[in-house]
Amino acid sequence: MEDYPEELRTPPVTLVALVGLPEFHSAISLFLHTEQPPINTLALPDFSNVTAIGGKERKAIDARMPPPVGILKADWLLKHRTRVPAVLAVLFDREQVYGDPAQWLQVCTHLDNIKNVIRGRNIKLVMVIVQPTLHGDMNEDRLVAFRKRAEVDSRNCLTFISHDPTELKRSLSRLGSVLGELSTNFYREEGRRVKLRIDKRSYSSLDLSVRYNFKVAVYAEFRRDWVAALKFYETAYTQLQEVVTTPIQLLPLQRIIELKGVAEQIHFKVATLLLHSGKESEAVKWFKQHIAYYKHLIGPPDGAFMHWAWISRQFHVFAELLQTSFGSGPPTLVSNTTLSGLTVTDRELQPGYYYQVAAVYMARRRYSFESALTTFEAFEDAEAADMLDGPAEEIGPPLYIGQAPRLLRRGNTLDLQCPTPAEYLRHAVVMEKNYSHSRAAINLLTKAHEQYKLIQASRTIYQLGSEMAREYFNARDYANAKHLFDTVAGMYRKESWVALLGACLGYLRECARQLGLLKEFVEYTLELAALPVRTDSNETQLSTFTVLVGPAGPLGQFQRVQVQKEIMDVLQEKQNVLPAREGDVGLALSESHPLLLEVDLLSPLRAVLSVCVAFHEQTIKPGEKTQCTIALLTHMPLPLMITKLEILFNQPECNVVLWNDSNVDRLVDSFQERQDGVLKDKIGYNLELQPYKWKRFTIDLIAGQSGRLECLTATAHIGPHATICCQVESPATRESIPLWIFEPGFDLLPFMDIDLAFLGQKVTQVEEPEALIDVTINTSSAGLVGELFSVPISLKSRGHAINQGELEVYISTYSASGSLEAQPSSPIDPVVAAPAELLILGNPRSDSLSQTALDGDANILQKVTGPIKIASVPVDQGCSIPLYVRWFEAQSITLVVSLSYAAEDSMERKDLAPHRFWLQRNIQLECEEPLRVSHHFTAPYRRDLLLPDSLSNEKTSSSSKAVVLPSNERSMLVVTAKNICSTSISLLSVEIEEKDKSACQINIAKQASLQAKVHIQAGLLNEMSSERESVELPSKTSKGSSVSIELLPGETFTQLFWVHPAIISNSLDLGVICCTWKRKQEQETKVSEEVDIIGMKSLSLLKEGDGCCLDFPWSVTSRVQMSAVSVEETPLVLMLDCPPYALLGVPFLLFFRIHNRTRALQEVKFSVLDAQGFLFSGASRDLISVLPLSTHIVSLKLVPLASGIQQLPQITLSASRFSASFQPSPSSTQIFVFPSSRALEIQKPRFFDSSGIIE
Amino acid sequence: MFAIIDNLLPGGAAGASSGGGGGGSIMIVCVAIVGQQNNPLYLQSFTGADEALKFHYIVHCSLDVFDEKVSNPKKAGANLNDTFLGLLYPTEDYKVFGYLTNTKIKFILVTSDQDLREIDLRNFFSQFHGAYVDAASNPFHVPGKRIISPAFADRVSTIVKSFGSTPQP
Repeated sequence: MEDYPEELRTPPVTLVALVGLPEFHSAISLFLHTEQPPINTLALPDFSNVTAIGGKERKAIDARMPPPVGILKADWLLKHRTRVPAVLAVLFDREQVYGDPAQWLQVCTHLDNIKNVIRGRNIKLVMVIVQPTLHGDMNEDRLVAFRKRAEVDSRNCLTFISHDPTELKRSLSRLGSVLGELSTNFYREEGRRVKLRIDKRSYSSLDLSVRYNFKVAVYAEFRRDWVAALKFYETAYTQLQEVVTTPIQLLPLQRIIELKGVAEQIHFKVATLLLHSGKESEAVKWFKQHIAYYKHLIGPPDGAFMHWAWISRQFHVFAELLQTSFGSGPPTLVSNTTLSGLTVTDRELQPGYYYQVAAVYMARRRYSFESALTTFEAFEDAEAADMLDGPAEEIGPPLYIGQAPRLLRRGNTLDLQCPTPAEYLRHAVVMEKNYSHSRAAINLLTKAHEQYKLIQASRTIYQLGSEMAREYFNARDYANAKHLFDTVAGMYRKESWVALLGACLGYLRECARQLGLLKEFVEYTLELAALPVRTDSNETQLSTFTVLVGPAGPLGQFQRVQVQKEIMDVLQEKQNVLPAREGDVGLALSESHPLLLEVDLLSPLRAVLSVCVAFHEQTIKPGEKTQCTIALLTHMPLPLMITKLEILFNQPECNVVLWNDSNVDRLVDSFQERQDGVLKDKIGYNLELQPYKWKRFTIDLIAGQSGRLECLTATAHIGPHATICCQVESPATRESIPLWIFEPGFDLLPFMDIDLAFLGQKVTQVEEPEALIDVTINTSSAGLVGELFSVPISLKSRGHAINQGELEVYISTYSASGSLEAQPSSPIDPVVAAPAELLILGNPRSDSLSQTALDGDANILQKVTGPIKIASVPVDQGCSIPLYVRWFEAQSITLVVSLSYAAEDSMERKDLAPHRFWLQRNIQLECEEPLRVSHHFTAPYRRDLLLPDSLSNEKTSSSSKAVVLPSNERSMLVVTAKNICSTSISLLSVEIEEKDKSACQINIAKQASLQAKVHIQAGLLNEMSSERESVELPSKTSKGSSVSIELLPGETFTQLFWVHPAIISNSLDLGVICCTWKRKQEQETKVSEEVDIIGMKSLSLLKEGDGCCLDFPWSVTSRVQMSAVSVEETPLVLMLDCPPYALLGVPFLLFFRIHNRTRALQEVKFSVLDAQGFLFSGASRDLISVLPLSTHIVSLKLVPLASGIQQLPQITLSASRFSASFQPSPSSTQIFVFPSSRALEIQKPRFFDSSGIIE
Repeated sequence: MFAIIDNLLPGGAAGASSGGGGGGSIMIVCVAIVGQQNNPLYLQSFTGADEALKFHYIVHCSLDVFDEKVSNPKKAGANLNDTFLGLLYPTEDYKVFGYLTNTKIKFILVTSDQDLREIDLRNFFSQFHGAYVDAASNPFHVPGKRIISPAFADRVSTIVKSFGSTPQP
């Protein structure tokens, strides 16, 4: 659009001229310029300049017009915008008009001159009389004469006040409006005048019709009548099409160029007006018609490039028009899907589209020009001068739009000045030679790219990219072209557009060749050959190529085969790459220029060679033979010959080289070199890969090191100096690798074995070598809470000598979910207390455990913190770790023992890092509670005490039954310890640790009894109470007994104590029951026999020494806190006094002694219940008063009526003061009745004899 | 240097001649199916083989318009639930029409005819879609892969030949 002249690009502006009084011109010009609409001013300082605006005499309206030599005059528009004013404003000073006759005469002269000049032009006149202020004399006669002379009416004769600012403003605006009005009139009249000519059709040539319509439109534009302007432009445009009546081929080139030049200008005007009036769709449609009509008016083939230049320019200009019209972005157009030709899509309003097409035509212009140039150079004299390229005085600008420059020297008429067709074409060719088509096309494409970027049309942008790259390629800017093609190829690869990618690759290959990049050249060529195109079309055998298809030609099987043949010859060094320039030898591979192509998993070259490796086993043992299958595939159209294949693993000793069987001769040489190398050579393989067929080899491997064994790369040697290093794939993960995933039949299963094909891995796990050490954890039974439970760990070598061994021991518990919850022995987590702790004899930190066992600290038990060090154990020997577990609660634990060591033999090889073996054992250890210790209190025999609080407690709440003991009375405490574990226990002592002796005294009673409940295996559960002889041990303390009794599982031991509370208390803490016990030692000796190490021996010796000199307690004291009791005074004591036994029929006396311990009289109501086995006499019920601190005795005389255990009559007491009644328990009111005294002699119940309860 | 044959550019004689050709002229110059990943599933042009690549470019660029229409349905007008997307964009010589299935398979028609009836296009696309569904239902066809079935190609060319044969309403 910048090429267009200014007068075409901008709408025309009214032009007026000023003459006379030049001092006011600038002010008036400025004012008129800012008027709305603006008016341009042509200032003529002097009256002598007026002739400049004059013109030639016009012809009469109906005069016959000769056929013109051109359609539109080149300078007509400019003339009307800058030289032909619509109105001439003549400024006179008032002195001149109203002054003396001489001045008046001069005015008259000026007026006559002016009238003469503008006569033929119809220019309007405005007379301006300038006076400084409003005041001043006016000569009316002179004014009338002045107006008459000037032939203006009074409206157009103004008084201009120059020195009063307010009046000046008013004068200016008045002048402005008059000028505006007159100029509109002028343009309207001019338009009408031309229109009249059209109507009269006083001409024969259609050219004139175009011209006149154009003029009418321009005049309409001058007066801002856009609708009319558009109408006449459109008419002019239509008329112009009628001009081309003769076949286009017969028209001379210059004429065609002229027609198109005119069409271009008129179309530009139409498009601008349409766009300015917001009719974008109209503009687009107009443009489409414009192009559709003129596109085929190519004209003579020699000048075709000018046609394409013209078309390209149309698109370019329209794009710019759209772009400036829309500013930031195109308007939102609601497109409908009606398919009539009236619809315009979004894309058609997109300036980018027009830029893109302009670029396409720019390319076309180049091709046309190139062919034209060839013809030109072949047939024309290259040395001939360009006649149109001369100095400005010889070469005149064209008189008519679209015409050629004139050769002024040839004559004065246009016919003579016009260059000949040959001269014209020569000039055009010469000019075109200097034109950079590619640069222009790239600029257009860049603009299009910017526009498409706004609407994020990524694929269109890529298409632009490839077009741009082709332009760069044409401009021989191969680096830029390659860069762009690389980007574009990425997109097409991603979306699998094979054909488009093929075209890109063809160009890329050529770029690489031109740039001398051998590696890239090979890569692009191989990728091109391996593209998934398997159709073979006949058209592919074209020897030439088109622009779109690119230098590689159309993509097909034939072409791929050709490409592969070429590149294989290059790789095998049979020929060089075609040289880019004459004189070059072309790229070639050599020893100094080897080629290594690296193919990773994302590389497009995977289609050339992909290698899949699968181990047959997921885990293998070190040193054992395993198999691994290698599968190779190529998608090249011809078989791919590999001379040798190197397969590399992460363990270099596994690396293999497979040799093609045809290369055995060469192998002999290289085999010698490789003797000490890590590669193992294998011969006799057929390494020719057939297209689309997997080639499989199975090789044997022996993995040396443990850990991961992974196949890394496979390097295929194709030529002497050409290798492809291919990263291998696992069959299991192949599907996730994107390469032509949308191509049917492209991806075939690499292995026949379905398991390998779907699950095979290129990685296998080499197991650790087996540790030749036995770790045994010796346990016999369940542990008991609190005891030191011995868990000796013994290590025995089976072939490895332990060196720098470390034994880690820790405890883990089974959590609820069943998973192992590691609880390391150190550091002990303060929050989650471990259920047990680990102890060890001796110092686990010291280097040699067995040595320290002898040292002074050997007997010290220490907690295990951290690993235990084991210095060295020679082959076929063993050692033992004296480990102990102490439980805090009965919970089963898992003891985890892990041993790591360095084998002695691996230490000897200094070059290798010593291999550490590692093994782990764990064992679950159960734990039991050894004893259940319980206790209860009983009152003394046949001595019942009234405890009012306990009675009231019973009434209020039965749940919180605190034990109530009477103060200053002895009560009995029964402590029972039951063996609830599965092993026998030696109970050493049962003691009470008193809390406060002054508050309560506890003494041991004499009896200690052992009740065992024996389960008989007959399935019946018999309970028998067997009394054993109580063992009286010398009591060390008065607070307990030292019994040392063996409790079998299920047996119970009972110990009695007297409790004598001294104070009254609600909550009296009596103390703690301490049961000291130890496991019945039966395994001690066993352990000491089994383990033959010094530490353990000393330990077992110590244990046998009955624990007296041990630093650690073999005996365990279980402590049970007794619940608090309340102590209160008892007001009444009921004692039952009766003989120890009775004889059938022999009467005896029974006394109930009611003792009042208070200092008040107690009224007690009692009643005696009858008993079946006795006949009795005495008061059966009464209300008695018991005096303070005295005893009342109720006596009954009884005669036993039945023998055996008999219930004595029971008494029920009610103390009215306490509103309490109580009855002695039935068990204490029983008596044994012997049938005769003889029976008494036989069985003398010792129990009753020794009873000290009844006093 | 290469010899360059200039017959693939817009406005060339090939483009003009393919459109006209008597009563039985093939107005459709290219049909294509594009998959969910914007990969070509099927592309057949009915002009000379030299021009095939041009249609690859045209079809590939038309995917942008699909994206625009899908991401900005307001612009697409009232046919929100319509699979037929209408005119995607015109190139200089051709018109490109689109059809989008619910499974985001795109059907593209490139025609050289400038005056088309919507009913013909809708009819064509529904037949084309039906043919694709049948081809995709073939147990030997792997969904998502390029269609290579010759039966499908035959059927498509039958549909293309019968294009526009619907009687005028």
